[in-house]
Amino acid sequence: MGSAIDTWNDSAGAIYMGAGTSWELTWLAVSAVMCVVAIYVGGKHEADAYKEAEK
Amino acid sequence: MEEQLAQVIAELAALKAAQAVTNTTFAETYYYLSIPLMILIHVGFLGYEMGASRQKNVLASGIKNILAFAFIVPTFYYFGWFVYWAWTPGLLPTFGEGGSWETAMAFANPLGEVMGPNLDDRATGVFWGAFTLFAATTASIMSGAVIERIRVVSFVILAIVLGSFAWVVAAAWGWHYQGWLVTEWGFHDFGAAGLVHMVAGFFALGVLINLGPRIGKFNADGSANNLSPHNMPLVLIGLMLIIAGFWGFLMACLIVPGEAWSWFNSHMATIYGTPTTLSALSFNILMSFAGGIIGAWVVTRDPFWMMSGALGGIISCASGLDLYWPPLAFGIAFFAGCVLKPCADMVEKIGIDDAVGAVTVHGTLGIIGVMGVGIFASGYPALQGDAGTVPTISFMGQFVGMIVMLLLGLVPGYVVSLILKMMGILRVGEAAEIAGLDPTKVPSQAYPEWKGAHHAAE
Repeated sequence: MGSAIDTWNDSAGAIYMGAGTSWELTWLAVSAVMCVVAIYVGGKHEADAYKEAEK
Repeated sequence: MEEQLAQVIAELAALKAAQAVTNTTFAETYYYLSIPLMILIHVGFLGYEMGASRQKNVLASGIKNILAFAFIVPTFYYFGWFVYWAWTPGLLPTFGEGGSWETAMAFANPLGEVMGPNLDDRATGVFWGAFTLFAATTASIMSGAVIERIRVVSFVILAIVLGSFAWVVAAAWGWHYQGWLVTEWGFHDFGAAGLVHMVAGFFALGVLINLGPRIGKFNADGSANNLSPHNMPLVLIGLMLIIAGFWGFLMACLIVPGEAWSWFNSHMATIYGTPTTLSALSFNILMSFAGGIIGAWVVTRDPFWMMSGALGGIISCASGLDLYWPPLAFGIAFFAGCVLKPCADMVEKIGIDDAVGAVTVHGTLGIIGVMGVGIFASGYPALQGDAGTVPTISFMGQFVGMIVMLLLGLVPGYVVSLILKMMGILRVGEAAEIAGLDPTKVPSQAYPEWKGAHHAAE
């Protein structure tokens, strides 16, 4: 993480933190896992709620 | 041959003049259009606060919100815009030739020629307008926290202090290329998580400490009761409108290219003069919006907190929207969405009745926003310049800025509200609060055909 840029003079191309490093794939994977976990946890809650309603 | 050359030169000069007019008109229109988009933030806050109120107070909450916006406009004209330009050096302006006071007199003197229709100045009005809407946003942030028991006049006074002074000082220090937080500490707050959201959130906290909770909020044993919004769909739509208006807010944080006052001729810049693009913002605003919603959904399942998470997600990434890798923005916002409700519960546990979670969404998540840049974007140059000649973004610089923003909000909010409290004009009367502010002082009714519309909701 952090900056590969030490001056903005003549800067071009990708400027985001971690550009061109393994942090790109890391955070891509982390954000995707967050989405999957959210769907799993949400789905479980929903299923439990419907089961409760059947009682 | 010479005639042809002269003709080409004349046509080239005409083309350049036409291009300059087009660019200037684009720049003027760009900031002009950010203003109605930012007014959507106020549409949103209006719906949000009225929906969050109990039925007996709904119009009183609306009046308060509308007046905040109305009074910010003239006071920001009279002195707020001046403060932004004059207070960059620190606690006081610098005087004399080349000082910040002289700069403010040139750009923001309310008696000056640029502060009105002026054919030679097509920038001051739209810049002032955009900043006025930033100012009104700070007042709206405070507004929701204090609903149902603050006196209108005291609220207006507090809104003026916050919107036309406190956050403006923060902006002069940390959102200006000559601000001392930037030049000495490399402070970076692209989307104003610190100088707007933290200042407003902690100002609200200072007021809430003196204002006290709504009657019936806390029991004798300290446990809290839920004073439910009377119209949750209105709250949700209000919050979504705030998100829409946020796009105007963030677009107005950019400096367009090609003008005499621009940083670059070829692309946009942040207010610090560092390069960025609308494309960068599009990635990171949407990803942070989504992350905040999803994180809050996982923890709460509650649509109120999900939409607060949307707002909080953007705020938690606002400082670095120009620098973050989009999946990182999603991750930060997801985390913010997850901690939102627990943080709000902690505020309630210490006896603070924040009706809409403003202290948490704006104050606490604003801290995440400011510090996130120190963690993830350390090392970036904070300003234009050769390597080693300008300050860089750092964890310590962001920490110093964070403390400054917190104090710039908390101290004036607490002190001014304490003075109003000592004068006996901070809070509405107890009988009026129990009966409802609408039947007490509003000439119209929100729901005239509903039976019991003016009865106590609880």
